Amino acid sequence: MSSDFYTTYIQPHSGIIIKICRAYTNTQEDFEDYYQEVCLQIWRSKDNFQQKSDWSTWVYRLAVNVCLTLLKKKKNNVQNFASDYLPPEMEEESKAFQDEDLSLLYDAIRKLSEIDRAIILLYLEEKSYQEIAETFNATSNNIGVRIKRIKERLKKLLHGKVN
Amino acid sequence: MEKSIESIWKKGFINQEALVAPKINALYEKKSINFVDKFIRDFKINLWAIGVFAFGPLFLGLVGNVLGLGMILSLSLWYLVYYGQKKLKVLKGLEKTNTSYDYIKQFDGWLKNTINGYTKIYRFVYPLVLIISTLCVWETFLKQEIINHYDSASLIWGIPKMGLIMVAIGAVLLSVFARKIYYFDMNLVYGSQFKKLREMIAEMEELRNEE
Repeated sequence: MSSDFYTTYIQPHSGIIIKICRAYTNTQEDFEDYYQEVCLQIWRSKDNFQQKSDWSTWVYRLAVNVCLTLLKKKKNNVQNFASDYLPPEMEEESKAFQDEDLSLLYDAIRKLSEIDRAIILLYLEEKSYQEIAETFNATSNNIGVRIKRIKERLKKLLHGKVN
Repeated sequence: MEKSIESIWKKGFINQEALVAPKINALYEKKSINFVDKFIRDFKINLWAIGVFAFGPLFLGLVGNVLGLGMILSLSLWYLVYYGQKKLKVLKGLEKTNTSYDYIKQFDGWLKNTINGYTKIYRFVYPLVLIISTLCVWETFLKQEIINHYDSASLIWGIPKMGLIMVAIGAVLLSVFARKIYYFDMNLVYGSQFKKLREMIAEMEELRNEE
C-alpha cells in the first residue's frame, strides 16, 4: 500500500475506522490488528468501489464487515469474547481512552450484539435514520425503534448514569 | 448532572488523542508468524499420525506371520517421520527477526526444499508399500492356493509371473508419478494453507512494489 493511498483515501476516514475498531476489540493489540486489517482490506478492495455510495459510507461498511469477520474468527478460538462478561484484565486493558465516560460508554457498547454496535456507532456519528436503514437493508422506522432499544440497553449497562 | 450518550461521545472525541491511528507498518508481521506457527502445528500432527499409523503394518505383520515385511513397512514410515522431524528443527530455526517478507520467503524456500526431499523418499516408499502389501497378502492368504493351482513353470518364487509383472509395472509407475501423487496428497492436507501462502506472498510483493 503506498503512503499516497493511505494519506488520500484512508487517513481522512481514520477517525471512523478507529471508532469502529475500538467497538469490536478489547485490547490495544487487537485494536491495532483490526485497524491494520481494515486498512489492508480497503486497499485490497479499492477496485471494487463502484461509486454507488460515498467513499466514506463504503469505508464504513467495509470496516464493520472486516471487524465482524475478525470477531467471528476470534470467537472460534476464544469463548465469551463478546459476552456480557469481560475478564478483569481485559476490562482493564479496554480503558484505552483518557476520557473516563467515553471509556465506560465503549465498554457498554462492546456488550451489545455485533449488529447493534454497528447501528449505534452510525447513530452516534450522526448519520440519518435513512442512511442507517440503507446500510442495513431495513426501514427507517425499524432503525428508529432499534436505536431506542439500544439506547435503553446502554442506559441499563451504564447503571442509569446517562439519560 | 446526567449526560446523554450522544454528549459523552462528542465530548470524548473532542480530545484528538482518542483518534490517533496506529502506525501501518509490519502489516504482515504477525500474520506470517501465525501462518508458520499454524503450519508447524499441522505438520506435527501429521507426523504424529504417520508415526502412530506405522504401528499398523508391524501389528498386521505379527498377526499374519509376516513380521519381517511388516517391519520393513513400519520402518520406512518411521523414516518419513524422522525426516520430517529433522526438517521441523530447521523450520523452527528460521530467523524471525527478519522482515515478515523475508520470513515468509524463507518459509517458502523451506517448504519447497522439504517437498523435494519427501518426493525423493516417496519414489521408494510408494513402490515399497505396493510390493510389501502384495507380498503380505500373497504370503498370508494366497500362497498355498496359488501353488496348488498353477504349474511350477508359470511361477517365480511361488508367485505367478503375470502377477509379478503387474506389481513391477505398478511399482515403476508409482515411482515415476511419485511427485504427482505426493502433491495430490499434500494438497488434500495443506491445500488451503498453500493457497493462502501464495496469496500472502503475492500481496506482500505487490505492497513492496508500491512503496
